[in-house]
Amino acid sequence: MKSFTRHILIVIVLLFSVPTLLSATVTGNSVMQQVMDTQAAKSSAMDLRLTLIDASGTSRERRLQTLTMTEAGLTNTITVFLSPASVRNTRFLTRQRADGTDDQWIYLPAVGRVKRIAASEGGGSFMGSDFTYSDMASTTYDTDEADHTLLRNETLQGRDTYVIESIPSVASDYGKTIIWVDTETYLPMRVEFYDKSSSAVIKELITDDFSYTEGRWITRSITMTTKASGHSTQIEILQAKYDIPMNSGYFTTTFLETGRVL
Amino acid sequence: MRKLLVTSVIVLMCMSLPLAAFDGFTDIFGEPELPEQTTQQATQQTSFTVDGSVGFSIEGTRGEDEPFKGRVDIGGGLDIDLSWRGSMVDARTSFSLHPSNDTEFRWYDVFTGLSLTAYYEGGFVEAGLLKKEWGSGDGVHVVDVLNAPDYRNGFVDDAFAMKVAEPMVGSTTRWDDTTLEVFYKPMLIPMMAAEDAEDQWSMYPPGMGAIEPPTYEDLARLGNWQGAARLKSIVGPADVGLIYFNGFHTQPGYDLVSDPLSISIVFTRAQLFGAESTIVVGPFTIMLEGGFWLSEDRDGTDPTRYNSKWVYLGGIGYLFPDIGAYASVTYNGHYILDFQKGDLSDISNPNNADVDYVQATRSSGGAPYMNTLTAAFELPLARERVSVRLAGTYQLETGGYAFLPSITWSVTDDFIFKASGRLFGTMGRSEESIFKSWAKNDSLKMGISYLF
Repeated sequence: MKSFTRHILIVIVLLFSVPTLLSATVTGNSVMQQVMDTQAAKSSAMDLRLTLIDASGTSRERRLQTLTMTEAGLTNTITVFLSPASVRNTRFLTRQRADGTDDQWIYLPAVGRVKRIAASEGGGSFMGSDFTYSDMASTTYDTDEADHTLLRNETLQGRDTYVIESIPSVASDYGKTIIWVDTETYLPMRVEFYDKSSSAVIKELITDDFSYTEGRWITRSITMTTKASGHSTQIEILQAKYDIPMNSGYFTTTFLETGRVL
Repeated sequence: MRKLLVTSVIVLMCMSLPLAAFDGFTDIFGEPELPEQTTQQATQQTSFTVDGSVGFSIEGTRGEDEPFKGRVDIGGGLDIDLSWRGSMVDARTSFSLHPSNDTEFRWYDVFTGLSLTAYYEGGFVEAGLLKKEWGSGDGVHVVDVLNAPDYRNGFVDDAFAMKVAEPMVGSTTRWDDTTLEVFYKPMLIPMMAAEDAEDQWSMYPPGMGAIEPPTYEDLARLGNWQGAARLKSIVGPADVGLIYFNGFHTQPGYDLVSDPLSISIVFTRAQLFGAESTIVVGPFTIMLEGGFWLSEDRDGTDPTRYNSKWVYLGGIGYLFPDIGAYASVTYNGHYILDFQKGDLSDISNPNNADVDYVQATRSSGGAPYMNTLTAAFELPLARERVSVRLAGTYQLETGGYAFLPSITWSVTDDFIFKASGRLFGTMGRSEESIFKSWAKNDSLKMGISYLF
């Protein structure tokens, strides 16, 4: 009985002291680590709608689905474009190699051919959107990719956020980013992307909607706006599934060519 | 009756299978709700899809020495792909309806594709009128043997459109990252070219006159079978393929008899031992193809048959990461063994009109070797609404060139405007060649199309 009482006491002490300890150790790095942990998954499936909106308000819509699976620390991704008609059923396969580089293949339905291509990384626009290929991979930097500094706490649209400055230590299209991270969900609520000289904001990302689904917080809708042109792109996650059983046959050139797991 | 019964049984078997179509990852997300898509769901799992385009174009051709008397061609038409997908069987057919006043109706121009594909664990078999592209190059190949080329409309900036869909049966087997494809072609489909030497796209020497094409009976003989196999695998940063082909050169040879003058068409059976590789290094894509054509005329003594030859291709492509532009340069060629120069002014001796020499006079200035440089550049602009493409080829031995620029503007995602040009000619030595013959065919084409 004495032992049991001692255990209870330890638990109570821990319960009260952990928030204090955590708040005492909040840093830019720890917040971004939490952001990474929140988004981490062994597999994910996303059904996306991209809406490209020009400054006059004219919009164009793209639909795509993407599957991602991480095995033995290597991430494979397959993406299929569903619309518009000009790119329908075009498929991309990206497989990460042990040295960290990617192999990438494209399937063009018009010619029925799978072709190995150079990976479309960097600052190129993804499908004419305001997102670059790098942005599509992630709009934030991992803890080992940048120096993260907690600037302040701030209330954004009624929610408490950590404001983090990230200065990339790897090759990047941006000089720095400022990220507003929700203190409850650890989702980025707003990201400002600065030019290479870190003097001007060139793009801004706003989280329009998020929800708690299948035991995790997920972003439902984000909008990226390019300051110079006023052009913006909204990405809506129509469906998202995480850590689901996924057939590795999806991540093969066979699937790329046939659309089937054989 | 038996055929009808068998067909009915196959159809019933297919319909009773647990069907799952691919319109995205339907097994994970369910059926997508797409705006403006013409997919009709026959059941929860099967899909019947109609894709296609309808277009209209105007092409103005310069005409030789009479720039203001050139011709105008009205083009366009309807292209439709019908696809049915089940869990184990796909069926697909492609129609192309392009009405024209000056060309006759031909089935192979209307049925541009027809295929049945049955899947099994680890592979699939397919049969029908198929188009396949083998080789690593960007639109230029030396080991792309499965389809005959179609030069009836000269060169266009769509290499796939310049292929003839051919009847064939194929099997594809896969294990790990390796694929083995085996194809059987029951008949010979020759290269298609203008049959009249006076046609604007004729590949024959001027004044040669019309040559009667081979008949269906000539081509569909049992002895005209052809077979091909390709073993392809992923090796590190490279895709590597080995190719074997036993079939025919698609370009016809000619048996010339001088007195009285008569020309009969013959085809050369040959085997290709080839290889292909695509290697990606950073933003660079290196493309290699090569092979040896072993002719039935092994010692090169038969003037009516093509000789054995080496073929080679090397290319490099570069992706501009920040702007999404892509540029490539490709060098390809061949070297003919046992080549003998002839004298076309005296064809009383058949060796003077050896087919290799006749072809060389039209393509490589009469040399046993031919080398061609091809460059292409594609630049997307205005958030991919506009695409600028420049493609050009230069034939080193003759100085002949073709330049194919185009600009495409997506007015909306489905409504496309395209302007394209074709320029042909020769530089420097101005040797006799098809490029010189086609110099009168410089043209500008503008068209609109709607994708559905």
